[in-house]
Amino acid sequence: MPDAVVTKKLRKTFGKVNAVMDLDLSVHEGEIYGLIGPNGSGKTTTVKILCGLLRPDGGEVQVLGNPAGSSSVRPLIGYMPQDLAIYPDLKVMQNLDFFGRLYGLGGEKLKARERALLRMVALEGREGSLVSTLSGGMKHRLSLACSMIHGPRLLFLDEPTVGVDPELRFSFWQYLKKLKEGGLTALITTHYMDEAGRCDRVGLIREGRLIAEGTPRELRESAGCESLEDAFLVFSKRDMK
Amino acid sequence: MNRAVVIAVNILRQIRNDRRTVGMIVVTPVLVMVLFGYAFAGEPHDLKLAIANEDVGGASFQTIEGPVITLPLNLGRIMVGSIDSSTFAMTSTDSLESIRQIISDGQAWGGLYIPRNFTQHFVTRGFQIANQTTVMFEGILYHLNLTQLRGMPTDQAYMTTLIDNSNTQVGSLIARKMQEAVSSIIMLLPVNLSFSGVIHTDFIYGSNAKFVDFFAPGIMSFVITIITIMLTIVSIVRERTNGTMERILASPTRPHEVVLGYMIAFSLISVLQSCLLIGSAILLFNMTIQGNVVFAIGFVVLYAIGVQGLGTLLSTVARNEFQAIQLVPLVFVPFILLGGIFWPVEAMPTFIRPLSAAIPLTYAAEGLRSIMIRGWGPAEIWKDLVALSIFALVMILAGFAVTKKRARG
Repeated sequence: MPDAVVTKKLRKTFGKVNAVMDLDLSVHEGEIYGLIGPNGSGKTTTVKILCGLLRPDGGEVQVLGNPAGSSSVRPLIGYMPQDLAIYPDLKVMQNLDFFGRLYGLGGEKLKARERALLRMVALEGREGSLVSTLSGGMKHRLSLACSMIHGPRLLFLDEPTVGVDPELRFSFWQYLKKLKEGGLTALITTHYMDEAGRCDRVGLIREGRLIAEGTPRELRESAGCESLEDAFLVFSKRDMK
Repeated sequence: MNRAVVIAVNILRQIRNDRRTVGMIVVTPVLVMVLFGYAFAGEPHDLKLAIANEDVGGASFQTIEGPVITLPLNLGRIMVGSIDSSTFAMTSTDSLESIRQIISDGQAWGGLYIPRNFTQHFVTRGFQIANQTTVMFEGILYHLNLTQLRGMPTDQAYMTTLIDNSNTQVGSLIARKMQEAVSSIIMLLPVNLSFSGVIHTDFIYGSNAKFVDFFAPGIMSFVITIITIMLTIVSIVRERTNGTMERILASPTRPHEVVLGYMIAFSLISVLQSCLLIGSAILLFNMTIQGNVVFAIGFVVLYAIGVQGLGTLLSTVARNEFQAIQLVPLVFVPFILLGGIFWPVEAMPTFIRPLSAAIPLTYAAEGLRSIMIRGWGPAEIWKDLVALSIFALVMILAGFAVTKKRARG
């Protein structure tokens, strides 16, 4: 299976802080890849580099076979930042319309896409609602829909479930699975270990370095643990040594 | 009470840990006081005044005793010497028409024309009004030939002052200073003449100008400045803090498209604001607009584009909306005090004028005033147009640079 994302010796520093250190990553097309690690481990920095929002200080980055951030890649990727990243003073449909038009969509094609997404994220009937009047869960689903408006091949989701209640987290993963069935590749960052179990493959990141990679089962077996959380602690201890 | 103290300490600690807020607390009052003190420190000075003094001097009269006596006076020279040299920077020219041209071109705020036979006619007129029968000349008392005196011409017994009243404060100051100077020659005569009896006043621009006419263009420019800067900073900072800017920059949208998008939006807002400001000034204050209203609005839009770019630049300094709002006084204070809105730039000390020249609002207010009161077009306000175009261009390029940097950290 070809790789949707490949990084080699990826480095990024902020002043004296090494946010990402020699990170080698490969995300296969059609899989949900979880980049798992504690806060400050370099997950967001990595995603921002992959989306072309940060320039790496060293190493190589290929996204869908092209350099990250290049004009040929941007239309093919979707990005859901840590914040909701939607306009509270616009209506639901206006948000979708705006982000769709940034990708050159318009006319019937955009309308059809909007309808399909609204159905998928269960926001049908709320097209005309101001975002500021929506519940947290609705905003969250709209944010996901905005990332998907142009039908990306590869979706970057940066901590999409932070502060989200369990029910919504469950439905979020249902959506993601549905999207995967449609052929979407997704790289999702999270520090919730239980979510890692839902990913096809997982990369454990600590202090900007990949300390382990594999399917959730492989990682548990390799660490000799029942849970991924324990596995992460085992790999962290090994890394410290 | 203890809890109140705890809350107060907590607030002070937060402020102490936020260097920008500390800076604002310390810098703003000092900046306001310093600029206010200098900007409003005194009357205008170095106002350009064009003078054409053609007076040849001397006043000759036939006496009954026989000889023609010539009083060795040159009232034109006395008049020019009496003009307050600290208020005016005087330049000489040769005719009333050339003075008119100089003021029309905006090269001088006012002018004074003294005709060739001013001294002769002025003294004659004074003697006629006073029914003067004698005159002391070189220690001898002579009797004037009254028949001849009454037949002497006095059509050149008047000086003419020309005033550019587009700045009503400057206009009234020139009129006042001329009156003071005239009193120095009136006191040489044995009769009391009113000011209007000696000097004719003619307005080149703003003959019916009211203070609101002078004030409105400045206020328009200022409102555009504050609203545009505030909206730009808050909008960009909000886009950044809620993550939409990242989402935009991760899309195929290029940084220059973001900057242009902001520019288009705020240009449209500035058109609306200009229409509202001009409309309310006309309806509420009966303001007269001599120039082309569409050109005035276009000029405001050019300025708004630059100001919007400045807002984009300032937005990079602010981490959140609270800090963004704090930046506003930093622009507000120097712009309002040094931009020539309330008081002409000429009223500021010479050393502070370069600061005024560095503030785009100065050109916006002056240019708009010229369009609205003087009725000038692009050819006449080209300097203001060039200054604002450079400002807009530099700000747009800087806006590109900072947005690009943000897009590719």
